[in-house]
Amino acid sequence: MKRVDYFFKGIKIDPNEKFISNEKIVSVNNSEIKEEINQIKNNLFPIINPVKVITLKSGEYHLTQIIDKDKTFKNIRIIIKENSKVKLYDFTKSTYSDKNMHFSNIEIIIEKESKVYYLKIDEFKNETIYSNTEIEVEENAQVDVDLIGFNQGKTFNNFKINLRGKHAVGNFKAIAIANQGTENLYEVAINNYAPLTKGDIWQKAVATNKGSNQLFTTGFIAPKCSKAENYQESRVLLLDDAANGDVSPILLIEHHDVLAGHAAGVSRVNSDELYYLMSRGITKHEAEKLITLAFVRPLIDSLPTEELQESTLLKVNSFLNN
Amino acid sequence: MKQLIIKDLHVEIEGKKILKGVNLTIKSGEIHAIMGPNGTGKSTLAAVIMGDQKYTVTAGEIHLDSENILELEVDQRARLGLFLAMQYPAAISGITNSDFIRSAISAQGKNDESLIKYIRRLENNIGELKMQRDMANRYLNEGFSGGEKKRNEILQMKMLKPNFAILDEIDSGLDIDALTVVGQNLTEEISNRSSELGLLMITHYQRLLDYIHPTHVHVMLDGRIVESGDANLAKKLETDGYEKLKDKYGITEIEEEENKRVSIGSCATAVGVGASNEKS
Ligand SMILES: Nc1ncnc2c1ncn2[C@@H]1O[C@H](COP(=O)(O)OP(=O)(O)OP(=O)(O)O)[C@@H](O)[C@H]1O
Ligand SMILES: [Mg+2]
Repeated sequence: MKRVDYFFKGIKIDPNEKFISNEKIVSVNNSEIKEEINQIKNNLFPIINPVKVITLKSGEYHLTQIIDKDKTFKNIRIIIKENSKVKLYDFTKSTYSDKNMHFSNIEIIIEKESKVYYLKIDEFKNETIYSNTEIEVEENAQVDVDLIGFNQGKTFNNFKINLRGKHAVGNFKAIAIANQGTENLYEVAINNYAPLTKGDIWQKAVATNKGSNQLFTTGFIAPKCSKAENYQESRVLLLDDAANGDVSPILLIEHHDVLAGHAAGVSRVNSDELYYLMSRGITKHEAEKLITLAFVRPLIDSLPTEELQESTLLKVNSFLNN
Repeated sequence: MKQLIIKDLHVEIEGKKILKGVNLTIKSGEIHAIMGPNGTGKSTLAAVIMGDQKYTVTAGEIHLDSENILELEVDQRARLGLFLAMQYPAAISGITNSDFIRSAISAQGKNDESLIKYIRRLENNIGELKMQRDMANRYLNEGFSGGEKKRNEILQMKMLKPNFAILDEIDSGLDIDALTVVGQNLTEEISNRSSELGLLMITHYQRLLDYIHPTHVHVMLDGRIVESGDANLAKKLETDGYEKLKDKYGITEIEEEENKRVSIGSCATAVGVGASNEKS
């Protein structure tokens, strides 16, 4: 299995494994966090293969899983067979909160000519979560990812899409809401390893009430990848002074004949927009909610079913009310 | 009957004096027009009545009946029945016009209307304003043309039914046909709700006043209302311009320059909150 080499080689899934203390990952210093992440990746995890390999053909699949006291969650490899159309719904919820670190490791290999929609909705409670997702996209294959985070604890989300074959396409969209107690750290990368590949990252995160969102986005175009494209847009909206957020966009380009671009920013609620809404009688809190919904709306509107759109809108609302 | 009373209002922005003692009383059923050269403080007056926090009131009072509204937030003032059709309304991508107006209606405690009734009323009003049908579902003012934004302000006024409406240059940016449409809509609104609606229109042109006949016309110069009269005052201004009045009240270029100097001194401290569109 040569493919396996592509990956960051899996994570040990024993929840009792002590590799890093909870306190450390709380650190707000980005460079420190980065360093720790690298340590996690490079040194601390023994290399093991995912415990489960699933092969899928065209169809809709649910990976829904509950995190409870004893169980860590997924450690799987999914192989999407050539020429398939697959929808993957991955809803992960925790019903139980503890102080342990929980791990998730998902590897998806999309064989050539296949098209995959992958929706991942995380609702993590007070655990510290390390979630690793890596997707390999082969020639003429495409992946569209929607990632939604309603996390209440510390979450490190590492998401990587590798465009391996010519004309491979990776579109990544994510929204995250951080409220009191939430510390989201997203590290998202799309790597163009072949000519004519196309990657796009779109990420919006909202923080309120001492919540925190840190976004690290990386676009990498390898040498000799002519006509590759890599775009990213990542924005953080802060609803109050206590909220916290940061964006670090990186483009690493090792070839000249490519297209790439990034837009990033951390902003507060626009005072002109707020004034306009309030001038029609809408309270400040309500106006901020409307502005927040507007901010994350493009992803919600593109969700595949109306039920999903509605339930996600409701969750954004209730998450902001907490 | 309600009254909006403005007494000796002094307003500054970033240390620059803009309003220098404005007195004005508007009663329900009255239609006031304020005219005046660019930069004399007309929009400032409108924004301060509405409660825009950018401006500092250094002296004076604004009362809505017995309530001192200077102590209230923008949204509270709106819920008391104040409405401002803005000269430059904000655009917000991601909030549909329809959702926005419905939120406003329910915020104002008028949410006894069913969704179906609401949509029917909204569509009716959109039709009456000869706006494009899809305006309800488009994002708030996003990509609207100048004239479409103005009509959208009137749409909100028709939906929200305020007690006092301030229309800041509602006629600018409207083509000739659109001016007729907006004029007719306002006339109808006034005749339907005459006893419960007070209007304050800021305009540069007689055109609008041909549709909506003001009961009172005021001229603002350099932060003060210097003359008040009936509809004839507007007609006189249309032919005479402001020069004579400027001479009469001693508004000279020197004073304008002084103003300029003050504003240059303060512009470096401008605070930009919420630039949501910065790109790198
Ligand atoms: N943020 C600001 N900083 C400095 N000066 C300001 C600021 N906002 C407004 N002003 C000044 O206040 C004065 C009054 O502005 P205002 O918008 O009230 O004028 P207006 O009478 O409505 O003019 P117009 O007819 O052009 O709409 C102008 O000289 C303007 O430049
Ligand atoms: Mg003006």
